[in-house]
Amino acid sequence: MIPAGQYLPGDGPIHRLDPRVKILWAIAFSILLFQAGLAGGILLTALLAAVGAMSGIPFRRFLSALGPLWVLVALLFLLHAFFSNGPVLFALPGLPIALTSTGLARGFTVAWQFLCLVSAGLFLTLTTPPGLLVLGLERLLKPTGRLGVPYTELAFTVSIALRFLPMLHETFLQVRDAQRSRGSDTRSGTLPGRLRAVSALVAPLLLGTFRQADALVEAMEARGYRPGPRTGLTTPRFTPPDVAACVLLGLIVALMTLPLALRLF
Amino acid sequence: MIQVQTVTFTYDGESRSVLRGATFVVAPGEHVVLSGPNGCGKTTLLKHLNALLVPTAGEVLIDGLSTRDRRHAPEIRRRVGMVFQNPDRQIVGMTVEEDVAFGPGNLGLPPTEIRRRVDAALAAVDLDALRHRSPQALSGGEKRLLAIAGVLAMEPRYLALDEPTAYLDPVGRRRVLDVLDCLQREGIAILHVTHDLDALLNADRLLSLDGGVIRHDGPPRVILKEPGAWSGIGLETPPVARLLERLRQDGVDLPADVLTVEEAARALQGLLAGRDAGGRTEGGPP
Repeated sequence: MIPAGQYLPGDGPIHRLDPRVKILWAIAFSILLFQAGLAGGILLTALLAAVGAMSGIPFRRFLSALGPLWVLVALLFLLHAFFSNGPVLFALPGLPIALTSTGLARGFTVAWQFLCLVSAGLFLTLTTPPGLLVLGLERLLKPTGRLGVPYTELAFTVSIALRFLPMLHETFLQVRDAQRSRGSDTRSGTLPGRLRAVSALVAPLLLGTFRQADALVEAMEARGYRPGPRTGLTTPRFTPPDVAACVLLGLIVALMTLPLALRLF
Repeated sequence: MIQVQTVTFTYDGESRSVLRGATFVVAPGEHVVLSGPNGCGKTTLLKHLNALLVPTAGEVLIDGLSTRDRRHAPEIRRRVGMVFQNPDRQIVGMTVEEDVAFGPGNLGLPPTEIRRRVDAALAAVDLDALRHRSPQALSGGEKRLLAIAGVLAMEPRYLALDEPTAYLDPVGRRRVLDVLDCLQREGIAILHVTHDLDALLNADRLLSLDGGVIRHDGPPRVILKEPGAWSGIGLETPPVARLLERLRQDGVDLPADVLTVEEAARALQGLLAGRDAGGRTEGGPP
């Protein structure tokens, strides 16, 4: 199975952008998103849609990458819609909750902000090979090296953590199945019984994880890993389209953060 | 040349030595298999070749470089590629090609050279088509090949592999063994831990490790003829060899060194052909 948000090879303009520019765009977009009014929101959504169209990622693939997050979007919307104060539109009989017009507006906003945030992250990971993403992060963090921050190790740790997650999940499934096959079940029985079953999972899971971490370190050493700068398959390159993307980003940030612009929006 | 000289090794906090004077050499381009019962120290011995472990006593020299000198470690790790038994625990990259690029990246090579090496390594193990896939999405056999490609990209002179065909289906197993044959033809020396009979018979030399020392060192067929050799290397005599031995004991004229199904088929066909010819001679032409 291919993980949902995993890099999708392509040669579109978004794929070709320097990862540093894409990371900066994603960060700026996330900050602006929570400051924007209605007009600003529409502008950002249009920008996101344009990026999506230019990326060449099939819409169906994008939707499947969103996957179970739809449930979270719906939940965010419902919670805000029904648990906010304001003019009541519809009251649930016998329950202390009601659908309010303020809640409805807030629910729409929060669900939309969340959806835009996840989409921006997805466009970043779907159009950038993970190695290049880490290298981009490393280059962005490089100035912190002067302050003594071990930025190469920090960026590499991020990539190893991402690599470790599916391994951790696999170990969890193996330990859980092994325990279940011997009669321990975390899903049924009394509360103390279920707690005992959960605690029985923890020790072997921790032990298995430490063993895996140990083996991974050994394998990395065997392939010549040493702390410090490394090279990669590709090097981020700053090209004219990257300059254009940076100028556009600067303009948008200026437009949406200038006090005058804020009043307009 | 790999020189393992009277190597003794004891893990920290343990009183019993895993290796007790193991000695052998592996020449460039050789194909050597290392076998022995479970827990006899095969993996420990293999880790000495890559400077992951340093002998408690004795010496390991890789082309004259001692693994004791930590300054040699990067060069030793470039020369001796190490493939561990569990591929899931040695894959570092998020995509196939990024994983292969990890080793050359550690050598600090420029991206163009890394690209050339990644392409060559993936072609050698026939994984080109899967270069953008997540390693998680590969089959067991493909993961082993990826682990091999990962060390090939370091352009090693020697390859040390820990049971590269364990837990694989026959197709995956064959694929791995074919790749190893191909690499040996290209001049890479191979030392691999295995209990696979085909791999064992295909090697130039068999080393059997038992009780922390090398008990046998020589051509596999010569060693396997010795009494008790099979159990000494942690294997059972193959059923086909037992069958022919039994027939020989019953007076059937069969050669004594038959170990595989193909060899048994040839021996039995020879026997039947001889009988047919004998029958025709005795009975005259029909």
